[in-house]
Amino acid sequence: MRKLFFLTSLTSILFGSNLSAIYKLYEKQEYEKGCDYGAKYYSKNLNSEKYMAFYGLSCLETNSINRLAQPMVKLGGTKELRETASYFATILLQKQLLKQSLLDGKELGNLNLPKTDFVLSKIFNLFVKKKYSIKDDIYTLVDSEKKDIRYEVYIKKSKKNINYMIIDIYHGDKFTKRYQYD
Amino acid sequence: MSKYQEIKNLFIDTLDTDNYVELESMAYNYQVLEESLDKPLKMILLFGRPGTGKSMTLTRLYDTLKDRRDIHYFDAPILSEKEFLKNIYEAMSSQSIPQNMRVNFDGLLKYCQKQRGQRDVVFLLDECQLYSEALMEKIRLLSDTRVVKFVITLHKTDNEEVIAKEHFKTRIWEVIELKNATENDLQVYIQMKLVQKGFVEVSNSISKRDVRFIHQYTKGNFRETNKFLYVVFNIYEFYEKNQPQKIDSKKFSKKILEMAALKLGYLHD
Amino acid sequence: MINTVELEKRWIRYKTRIFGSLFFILFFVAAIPYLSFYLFEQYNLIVEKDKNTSNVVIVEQLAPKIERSLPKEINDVVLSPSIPIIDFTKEKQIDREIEQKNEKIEKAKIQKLKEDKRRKAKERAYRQKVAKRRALKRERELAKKESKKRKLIKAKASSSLSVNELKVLSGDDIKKSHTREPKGNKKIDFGGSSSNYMPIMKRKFQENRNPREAILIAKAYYKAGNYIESEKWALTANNLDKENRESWLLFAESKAKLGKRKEALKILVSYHKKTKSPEVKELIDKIKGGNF
Repeated sequence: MRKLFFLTSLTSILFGSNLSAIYKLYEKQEYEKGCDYGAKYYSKNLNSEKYMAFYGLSCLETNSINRLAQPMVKLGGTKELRETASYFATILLQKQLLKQSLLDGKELGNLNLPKTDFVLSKIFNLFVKKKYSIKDDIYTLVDSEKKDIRYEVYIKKSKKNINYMIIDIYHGDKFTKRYQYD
Repeated sequence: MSKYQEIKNLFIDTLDTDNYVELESMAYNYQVLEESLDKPLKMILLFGRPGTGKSMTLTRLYDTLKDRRDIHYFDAPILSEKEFLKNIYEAMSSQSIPQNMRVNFDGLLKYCQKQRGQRDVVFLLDECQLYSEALMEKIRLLSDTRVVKFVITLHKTDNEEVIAKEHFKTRIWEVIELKNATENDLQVYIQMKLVQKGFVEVSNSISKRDVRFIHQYTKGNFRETNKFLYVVFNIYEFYEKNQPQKIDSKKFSKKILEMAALKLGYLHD
Repeated sequence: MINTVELEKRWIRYKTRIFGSLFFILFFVAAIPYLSFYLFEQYNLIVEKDKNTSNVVIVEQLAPKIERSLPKEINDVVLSPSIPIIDFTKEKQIDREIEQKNEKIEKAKIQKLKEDKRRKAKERAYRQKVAKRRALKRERELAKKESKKRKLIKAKASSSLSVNELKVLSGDDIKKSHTREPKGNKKIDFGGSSSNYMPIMKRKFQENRNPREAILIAKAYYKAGNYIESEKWALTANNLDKENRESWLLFAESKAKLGKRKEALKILVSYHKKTKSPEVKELIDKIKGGNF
């Protein structure tokens, strides 16, 4: 927290501080902070693709996955960064399709999208192959590689009538993480 | 005379009992002093720093009791022994002695001893630190007659040896210490001084903060406070005459307080 | 008496000192986190420099984390993100270059603005000059035309006009007349009622600022009876050349004619004291005698 205070109050003093700051946050796996930081100084770093990459990578691990769209469109300078952009686009697409399927019952057919190692992609692939069980509108899926990891996916409506897609991850019987996507 | 000129004059250091402000702490000390005179004491010591009101207390005591008692006030120390004894005798006998004649100390002593049980004379001696040891011895001997009582004042100095001196040690029966005023006392002092003479508005304009400022530098010493306020109102008087727009009658000017503090050397620019 | 002015100055000095020290303290307190962060970052960079052989921070351990658990099916499209490598010193250099570039652009802008201003001012001045020249030319042409119609003007022997000037006034053809200056006290007669004499002489005076011209103008006015103007022009001539006796005399005469005899006498007497000129004495006597 102190670090964030340091960083947010030292914007123009140190050169290249936005990039180094966001990198440091990513390195420390402080994804929420990194994602917020990235959003805050987005307009000041429009020419820095590396900054955009870290911004996207940070937001990927948070609930603000929609923010991937911002950095995604700015990545294109190198081969690796273009792949990263596609990576972000794929995950966003999978999230949208999954939500659509849960809410509207949209059939996903035999869709074969690029594979990524991100949890949302894994769930999407299992979903397409119909490797799930439903109970009380909660979809339960088991990880194809690690059998003790179980995912529960469902829709939850908030007080303000916003539909959230919830992904709960269980290791055995132990609840470990929740992703809440709007 | 302008308003501020009048107020300024209130703060001139005088021993005029008309302008006396009765403070609780002072009232207590005064009462103790008055009561002590009725006790069979020989000497009463009134001590404190310069400007704490010793002379004022003696003056007030004298004014109050001069019609009731055989009381005499030596407001300035008489350093010549000859003159001192002469004055003692003249005060007691109400006779004046010709210039070339001396008062014999033994004679005086016998004179006092003869009047034992009949008279009770009180002498108020101010600034006793200036009296020589020999003279103080004589004073002690006179007080031993139990006819004459002495109330002496001393400056409290850092050198407390003065009080430890022999002729005081066994003779002082009552010791009253006068201290500097507290902030509250000072506020009462200033406000009452103004209100007594009808300057209620000015008195109300002085806030606790202003008094705290004054107290910070004068440390509650009456003389220092009088000097400070004299300078303050002197500045006010000047502005009233030449630039009246700079004066706000509702609020006491912090700027003028600071200017006065600068002039008196409490603050440095 | 209290010297309030001085006291007020001291009060201002005191307040300035207090506020100054307060400001300094606040500034110092506010600067501590910045300073400590800067030092902290420097320390970190030094530490990292020690760890690696270069300034480049390579994050190899993170990359495999993301890449490891990828499904390896045939014909499957696999995407994986890459963590960019950051060269901190290079980044700082780039930022510095950008800043320097911006500074240069700013400077160039300011320079251009200044040059524009200068250019515009020059143009304005030039235009004004051209307009003036044209106006002068027009006036001269007019004067030339009119001078041809005029009669001769009378002038005293002491006003030594050059030959060319005489020709201008008289309208004579330059080729016909003699080229030498008139000698001695040869009197040249000019018509006194020429209405263009004044403007021409005044213009001449404006151009050359010659006291001789001023005296001529003064004399003309004096002759015409306009003693106010003659006094003014005599004074002008005198201001340009204090040694010129004529200007003194004419000035005094004009004053006397205006009724200011005492003043005239005063001036003449003080001038006579200096020069002991008989002419001056004569004039003094004349004025004293009341023959003015």
